[in-house]
Amino acid sequence: MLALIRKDLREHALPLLYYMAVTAAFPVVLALIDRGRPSPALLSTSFFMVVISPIMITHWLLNTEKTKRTLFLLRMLPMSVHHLAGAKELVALIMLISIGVVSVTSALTVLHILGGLEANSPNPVAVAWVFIGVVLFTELMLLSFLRFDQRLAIQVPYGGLLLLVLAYSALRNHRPNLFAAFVAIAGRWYVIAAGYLTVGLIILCLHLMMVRLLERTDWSHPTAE
Amino acid sequence: MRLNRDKADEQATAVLEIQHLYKTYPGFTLKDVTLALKPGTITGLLGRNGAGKTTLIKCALGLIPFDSGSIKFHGTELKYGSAVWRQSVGYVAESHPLYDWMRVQQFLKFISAYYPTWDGVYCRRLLDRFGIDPHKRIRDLSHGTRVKLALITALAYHPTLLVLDEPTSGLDPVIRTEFLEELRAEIMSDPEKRAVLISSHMLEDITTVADEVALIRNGELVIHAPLADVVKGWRVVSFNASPERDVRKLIDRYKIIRGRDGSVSLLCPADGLQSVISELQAAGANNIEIQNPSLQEVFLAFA
Repeated sequence: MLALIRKDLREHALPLLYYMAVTAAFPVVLALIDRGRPSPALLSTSFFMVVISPIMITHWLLNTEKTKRTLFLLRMLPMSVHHLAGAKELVALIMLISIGVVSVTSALTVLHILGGLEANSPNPVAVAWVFIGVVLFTELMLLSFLRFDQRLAIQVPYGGLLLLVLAYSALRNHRPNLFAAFVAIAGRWYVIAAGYLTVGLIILCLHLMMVRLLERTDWSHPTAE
Repeated sequence: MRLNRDKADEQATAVLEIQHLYKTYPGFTLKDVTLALKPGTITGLLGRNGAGKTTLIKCALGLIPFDSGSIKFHGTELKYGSAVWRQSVGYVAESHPLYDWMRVQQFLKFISAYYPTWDGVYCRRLLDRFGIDPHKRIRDLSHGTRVKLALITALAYHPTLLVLDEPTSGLDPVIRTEFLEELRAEIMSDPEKRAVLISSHMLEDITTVADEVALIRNGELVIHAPLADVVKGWRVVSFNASPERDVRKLIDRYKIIRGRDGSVSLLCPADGLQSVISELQAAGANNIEIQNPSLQEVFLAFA
């Protein structure tokens, strides 16, 4: 498993570093465009980079292996599919955390330099929810990329994400009281813990589905693409 | 016309034992395949395209699930999904998937991490023997060199079962000879424990290296026997025949392997040869000649 993690990190080091550099540079460029004033766009751009990173990561980790049939090579190794899926998930998490840390650090640094740290710094509760949301999104992307053709795979979690945004908007505009109640309890530690537990269980289910898919599909076949 | 090994003999010491294996795809079924690979033998797996050779191999190696049947490796029944036993299995797939961005030595290091019995000295020796530069990127290797690299990765940990799926397709005769020599040398290094299953359309290769032959037709194993028996058990009877005479009935009972310019060749069991000749003579066939068949002629008749 460690060999596979090392291989994946090494294989994708260059695109990952490039993505991290772009993510780090975004707040700086925005700050320059905004003539030194901290703006909400700065933070939302950083979040955007983090949110779309699962698509990049999954493409690197699974789509390339599928199209070049090296996933079949991995299936031939004396390694259980749990280890194979686990290694991919772990690498995705490492990449996600790297991109997230760079993104948040860069945004905070720019805000600090501009003197707007207090006004615009990210809310830790929001960061906690965004983090687990992105982890769930990544797992969903991994499963989608494994199950479907790349073009369709991207649509599956995107559809879910759009529904989530629509639900958020509808709740906020049409049920403001309910929305306020949700916001009020979202910061409580036991709600966060329950959220993490729920997402953890969903991720476990998705992992098992991924394992079953890896185990039961003939990855040498061209239609596996 | 079924020619099969004595199963009791096979099952006693088999490296890999497949019993009553069924696997159904839409439009194709692998039917009741029972096959045992004895230690010290190279078994050639033959069959036409789509006959089920690769499906059988993938089922046997646990790469795709099968519907029913059982597979034993050195006497232990395998559970689908278990992977540790593959530490003792070498597999060269038809498509030779490799990481093109890696250098040869990098790739070998990556693969070696999964095999506790990886023999670095032997691996270097194979690299030298096949003339592969370990510093070269895999994307820069020719097709033949990629195949040789795939074989090295399958041999370097001394597997007790080596499964090769169309390994020599696309290789020139020199590389093919080197490849087959290494295969033979590897199995002879420990014949008590090792077995090889080689699927190929190159009947010359099978004739060169195989001790036994297994032939699959439409998902069914129709022949499994020592190579010498496969050829020895049959005769090619050639004769001239007039289509309107009774000889047509006889032709329908046996396998026609050639038939042009009024001359027909049939594949007949060696032990029933005399009666076939008598029937042919009675039916008016003339210029009857008897020859030993080649493996290709047996293949053409049965595949």
